[in-house]
Formats: sequence, structure tokens, C-alpha cells
Amino acid sequence: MAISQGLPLENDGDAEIVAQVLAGDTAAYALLVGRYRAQFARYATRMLGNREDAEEALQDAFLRAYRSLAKCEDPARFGSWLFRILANRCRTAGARRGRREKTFIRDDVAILDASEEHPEDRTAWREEIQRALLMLEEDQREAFLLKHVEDLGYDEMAELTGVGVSALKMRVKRACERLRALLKEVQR
Amino acid sequence: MVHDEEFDPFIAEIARELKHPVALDARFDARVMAALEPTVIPITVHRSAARPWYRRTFSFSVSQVAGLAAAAALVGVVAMNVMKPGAPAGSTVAALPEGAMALQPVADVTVDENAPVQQQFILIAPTASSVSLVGDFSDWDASRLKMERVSADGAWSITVPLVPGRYEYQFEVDGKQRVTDPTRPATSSEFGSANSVVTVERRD
Repeated sequence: MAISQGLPLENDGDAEIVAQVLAGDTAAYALLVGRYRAQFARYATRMLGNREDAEEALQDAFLRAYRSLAKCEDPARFGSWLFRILANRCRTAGARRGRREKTFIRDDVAILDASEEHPEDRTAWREEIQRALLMLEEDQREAFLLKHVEDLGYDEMAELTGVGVSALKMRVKRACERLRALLKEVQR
Repeated sequence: MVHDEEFDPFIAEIARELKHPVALDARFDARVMAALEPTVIPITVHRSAARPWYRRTFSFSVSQVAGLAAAAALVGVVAMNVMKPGAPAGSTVAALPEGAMALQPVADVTVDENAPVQQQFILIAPTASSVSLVGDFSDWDASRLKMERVSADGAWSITVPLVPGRYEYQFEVDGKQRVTDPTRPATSSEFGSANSVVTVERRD
């Protein structure tokens, strides 16, 4: 299975598609959905820990973006704008779930990723990683995913999150330390 | 001051595992598109007594798409009624809902109910190498309405002028697999298989 690259926050033609949608061509929005669905689904799933919540957050983000499309100040950077909506939605969903209970069971994420290339121990290891990820503070998890999974630079991260670069670096550093501690223990 | 962290093989391995893609429900795109509110209120008009060739009904036997599961990349299907610039003159009766995004003037003019409406069909099929639209408006002939791949993400599109009315259709993928549109109502043909149904209405 190919490993996806980082977040596609800018794509040629986004501004034209946004203009089409605003002109009444609702169907053109499907192009934007298709363009950003996969990468953003990965981010939402890693942030929230299960596919159901991730799909709900992602669908909600697409719908919110559609309803507010006229307010998108830079349609050429629709992806960045949409991602900010999604990130906010994930934070809200994460806070809500935190009030319920911390649940990560052996289901969606690990099983979705499983394939013949990844035997059981691989799946178990990935499950442990996701479990550890969910034990991080939410802001640390977000920073870690953006930096190390979505391969964004700190300036891009700062733009997306509205958090300063120094604070983001600190969050990433702490996230790495915590993950290392949690997962080294599992490996022992 | 926190410095950029040095390369850490352990963190790199974690990141590599987390980079693997995750699959969404195959109908995710269709669900999103179905949830979008229309930007204008469609105006329903009565059908004309005349029945041009693209209005003839024709039932078609379609086997259930056994390959649909195999075609996991077939993510979703949407069909939307769109009014393009250059639509027939004298065909605009627009009513904008509060807060609608469409910025079209409200006019009150004669409606030509036989004037075709540009109907766009979109299929998200990233792994398809060809897609055709087939329906009673084209005598179910896959050679007539070849769809165009319009994005690297696998969106296939075609816009067809249709007189307001009810039509049945499907998509033919790679010349062999016919799929219905999960976002639209389906009807059974006389052979018991389902076609998607779109009702084209005037909207200006």
C-alpha cells in the first residue's frame, strides 16, 4: 500500500472550482471533496481514533465549508481553509469524547490499515501507536501529526493552528518524548 | 528556545506507520454531496406533451453490480442539476432562499418549459479508465455520452441538456460494469433491476 504524502493544502484550480460552486454549480463541489477527502480523512482518523468520528468530523467540515464558501478569502488556498475548519471540528469532537470516556478499541483504525502485507504483529504495533497517540494531550497530538505525519513546516503549522512556532515546537517535542516513553514500554 | 528536533529513527518509524492511508466509507462523497443544500429553489413546471427522443422511456436490464465491492475505489456518485450561462433566453424565474449563495437577479418572465436544462452528472471513480453515462435519454447507448475525467482524484463529469422531466440512468465503468447512483432514488425495471432516477426541473 502506498504511503500518502503530506497534506495537499494547495491545488491548482481550486479557485476556479470555488468560483463555479459560488456561481451555482453545486456539483462542482464534488471535485473539492474528491481532492481533499483522503488526506484529511487520515488526519481526522489519527486525531479522533476511529473512523466513525472521523467521517462525521470530515463530513461536517465539508458542509461547513460549503455553507461559508463565500467567506473563503483566498479560494486558491481552499485546502488550508478547509483544514482549519476540520482541525477545529476535531478539537470539538475530541473535547466531547474526552468528557465521555477514553475509548480506543481494536477496531477501525488498525483493521482499516490491515492488509496481507501487514501481518498481525504489524497491526498490533500500529494499534499500540494509535493508542499512545490518543494518550497525548490534544494539542500535542495535533502538533505531532502535522509535523511528522503530514510533514508540514512550523510556519505552515502556525498558520493553520494560529499557535506560535515556539509553542508548536514545544508541543512536538513533548509529544515525541511521551510517545517514546509509552511505546518503548510496549516494546519491552 | 526549542530547537528543531534531530532525526529520530524511532519517531520516524511511528510517523511512517501513521502515514498509511485510512479508508472512508465508499459512499462518503455521495453523502456529502447529498447533504448540500441547493443554492436556488427549483421551479417545477409541467411537462410538455411532446416527447423528444431524449424523453422516451426505455427499460434496461442491469445485473446487480457484483464488482462494486471489488471496485473499492468507486467512491461515490452525484448528479446535480445546474444551469449554465447561455441557457435559453426567457427561461428565468428565480427565487433565492434566504442566505443563498447564488447571486442571480430575481426576474419574472415567461418560462419556456421545453427548453433544455444543463444537467451535470459526476462519478467519482479513481481507478476507472473510462466512464459513460447511459440512460433513457440516450437509448442506453454507452457510446453516446462518454464522460470526461476532470480531476486527478478520479472525478468523471458530463453535462447533458435535458428537457425537464423524469429520467432513468446508470454509469458504465470501463465498458462493462454498470452502477447506479446511491444519492438518487432508484426504480425497478420490468426485468427487476434498478436504475437511478433524476427529475430535471427548471431552475433559473
